[in-house]
Amino acid sequence: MILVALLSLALVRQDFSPAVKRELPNGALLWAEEVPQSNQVSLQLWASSVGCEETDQTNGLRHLAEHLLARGKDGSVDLRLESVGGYLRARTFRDAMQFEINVPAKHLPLAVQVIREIVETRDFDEADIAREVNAVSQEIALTDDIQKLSRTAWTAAYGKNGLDPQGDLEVISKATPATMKSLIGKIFNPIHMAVVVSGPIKPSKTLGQLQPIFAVLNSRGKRESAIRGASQIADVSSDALGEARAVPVGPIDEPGTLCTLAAAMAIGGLVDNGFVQYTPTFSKGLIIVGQTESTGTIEKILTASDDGTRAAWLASAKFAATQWLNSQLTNPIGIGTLRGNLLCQRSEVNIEKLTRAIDQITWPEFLKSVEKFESKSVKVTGR
Amino acid sequence: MIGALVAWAMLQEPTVFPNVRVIPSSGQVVRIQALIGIPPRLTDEEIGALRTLVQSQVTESSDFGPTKLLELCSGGGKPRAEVMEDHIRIWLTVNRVDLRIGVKLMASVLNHPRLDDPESMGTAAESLDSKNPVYWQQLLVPKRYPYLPYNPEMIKALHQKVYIPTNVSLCFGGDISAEEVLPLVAGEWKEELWGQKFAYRQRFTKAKEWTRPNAQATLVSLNSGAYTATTDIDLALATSMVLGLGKGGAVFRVLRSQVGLSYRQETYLWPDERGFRLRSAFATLPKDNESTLPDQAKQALLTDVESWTQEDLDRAFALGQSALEGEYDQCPIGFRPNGGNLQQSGEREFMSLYWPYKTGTQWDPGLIMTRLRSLPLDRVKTFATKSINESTSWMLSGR
Repeated sequence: MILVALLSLALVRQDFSPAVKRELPNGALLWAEEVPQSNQVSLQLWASSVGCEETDQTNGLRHLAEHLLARGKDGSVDLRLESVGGYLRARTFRDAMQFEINVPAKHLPLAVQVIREIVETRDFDEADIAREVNAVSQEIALTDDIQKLSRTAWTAAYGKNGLDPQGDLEVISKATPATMKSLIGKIFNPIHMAVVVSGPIKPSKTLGQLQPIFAVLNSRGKRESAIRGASQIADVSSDALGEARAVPVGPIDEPGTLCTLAAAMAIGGLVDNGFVQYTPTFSKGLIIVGQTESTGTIEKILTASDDGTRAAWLASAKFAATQWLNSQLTNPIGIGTLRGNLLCQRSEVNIEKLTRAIDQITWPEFLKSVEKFESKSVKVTGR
Repeated sequence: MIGALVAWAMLQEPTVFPNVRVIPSSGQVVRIQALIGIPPRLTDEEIGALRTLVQSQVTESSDFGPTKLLELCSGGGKPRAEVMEDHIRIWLTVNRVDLRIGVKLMASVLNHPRLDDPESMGTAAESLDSKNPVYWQQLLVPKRYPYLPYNPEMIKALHQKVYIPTNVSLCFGGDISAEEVLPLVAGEWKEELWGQKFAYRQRFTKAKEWTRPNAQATLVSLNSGAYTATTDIDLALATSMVLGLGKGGAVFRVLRSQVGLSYRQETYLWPDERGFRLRSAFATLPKDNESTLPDQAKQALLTDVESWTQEDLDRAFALGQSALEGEYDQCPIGFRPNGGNLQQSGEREFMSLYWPYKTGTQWDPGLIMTRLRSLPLDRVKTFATKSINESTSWMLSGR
C-alpha cells in the first residue's frame, strides 16, 4: 500500500462546493467550504514557519510548542472532543504547523471553542514543559522508518536548511516558559496564519463565529514564503529499514514539481509497503519515494523498466495523482489540509493551475521525471 | 457511513460461485476485493506456503503477465494481497470503463494462478523472505513464516483446498450496479476449476518468532482467549473501544500517561482462526527489569477497569462510532497486519465482507453501536476484568 503523505494539493471547484474566503485586516486568512454530503466538520488552523525558522540552536522548539498548544487551556481538550466522537491532531512540518480538529457536524461550536483555547493560551509553566519534553523524547526515540529515511534524505539534500522539525532533544530539553511564550507569539502571527473550516456548514455564518478569535491578533511584517537554499544530491545510508529516493523540487506551482510527484506515485505504486512523501510548499521541497521492508527494490524496478514499461506507468501516475486530488475535494479533512497549508504560505493560490499541471504532463516530461529518481536523486540505503 | 447495500447476493449455484457484494459510490474507478477464508486447522507450514502462493498470484496469472496486469490496474497500482490468520485479502482497482476486464482479471488471479513456473514462484518466495516488517507489525504478527523453496505439489494442493468458491467473497465498490456485476461474475467462475485434488508431502518448517524488534523498542502484548459468540464479540469490541480508543482510552491514559510504561499503545479486537481475541499492544523504550512489564500493565489496567464509569463508555462509544464510520483514523478492529483503519472507502467496503464472514451479522456501524450502547456498564467491566486477567502475555525485548 502506498502511504501518501501529501499535505496539500488543492482543487476546489467552487461551482459545486460553495466556499467563502475572508482576509482579516491583520492578514489572517479564513476559508470556509460547504461539503453537504459529509457528517463531519474539520476545522484546521495552519501557521507558516516564516518568522520562526529553526536553526541548530532552536531545532525542535516549534515541535514542543505544538505539543503544549494542543493541550488547550487545562489539558482537557482531547477528553472533551472524544466525548462527542471528535479528535484533535497536531503536526509540525518544516514550513508550517497544523492543528486539525474533526468533530461530528453538530459539535462545531466545541471545535471553535478548542481552536480559541489553542490560540489564546500562551503561558506554560515548567511542569507543562517537562511533561511535553518527555512526550517528545519518546516520540523521537520511536521514530518510524519512513520518518528516519525522510530525515536522512532532507539532511543530504538541504543540510541545515532541511532540519527535521521533530527536533533535537538537547535543544528541546532546555526550553523555558519565557522562550516558549516568545516563540508562540511569533508562530501566531496572523499574517502567516490560515484557518479552514469545511463540512456541512454555512460558510459565511461559520466564518462569523471564527473571525473574532483571529481578528484580535497583532500582525508583524509582511506575508512571505519560506526560503530554502540550494539543494544537492548524494548517496547516503540510514539506520532505518528500507530505502528511499528523494528528488529536490521547486515550489509546488513550478513546472515539473507535480510531474515529479506523479512519477514518484507510479514508482511507489509498484512497491509493497511503499510510500510517497511530499509536503507541498512554495519554497523548495523534496519528493521522496521509498519502502520500509528491504533494500534494492526500487533500484530493481528502475533498472528492469524500459521506456515501454514506463509509458504504462504514465497512465497510472496521472490517474493516481488525479484520483488523489479529486478525493480531496469531497473530504473535509482533505480540504482543510490542502487549503490550510497553501493559504498560510501565500494568500492567492491558483488551484486550477495545479490541476492543469497534472492533466498536461507529457511523456517526455514524465520520462525525465522518472529518470531523476535514477540519477538526480538523494539515494538513501537503509539496513 | 458505509454506502447503502445494493446486493448481497448468493448466486444460484453455491458450490460454484462466490458471494458477491456491490457497494455503489461515485468515482472513476472500481475497487474489486476478494476475501478468501482460510480453513481452520491449517498448519503453520501451510499458512507459510499460502503466503508464497498469494504473492505469486498478485504478480502474474496464467492469463495475464506481470506487465499486462500492471497496465490494467492503472487506477491503483498492482494488485495487492495480505494473509491474516483467518483470511486472505486480494484487491485491485480498475478504471470504471474496464469493469468487465477487472472481473476477468480478479477471476484469473484467484482461479488461474501461474503455478507451473518454479522460477517466478521462487522469486516471489525470495522477495517475501527478504522483507522486514516495521516493529509495530512485528508486535501484531509475532510469527514469522520462512519461505522455503518452491514445492509445486503443495502450492497447487493448497490452492485447491482454499480457493473453493464457497470460501470466496467478492466486493465491488464504485459507480456500478449489482445487475451489471453479477452476470460478469457468473461468466468467470466455472465449475471445472475444482475437479482434481492434489496430494502433497509437507516440506515446510514451522513458524518462528522474531528474535529482535526492528526498532529500539521493547514490544509487549496482552492477549485474551478467542471469542466466537456474538454477545462475547460485542463485549470484546466494547472493551476494545474503552481500553484503546483515543487519549481517553485506558491504554493511553494509564499505560502511557499515568504509569509511563509505553509510548505507543493500542487495543484491538484481533482475529484468529476461530473468532476474535482482545489484544492490548504497546511499545516502550528498552529498560531494566522489563520482564515485569506485562504484569505491571495488566495490574494497571485491572485497577483502572474498576474505576470505569458510564462516562468512560459514552466517550469510547462516541469515538468508536466515528471509527467504524470512517471518520477517525484509529480502528478498534484489527483486520490488517498493521491494524488497519476504516477511513478509506475501500477499507469499509472490505469490512462489509469481513464482518459477516467472522460474525454472521451484517456490517452496519449504526446497528453495532446501538448494540454496544445497550450493554450495561457492570457487564462490560466484568468482561474486561476477566479478559485482562486471563490474558497471556508476549514480549520481545529491545535490549
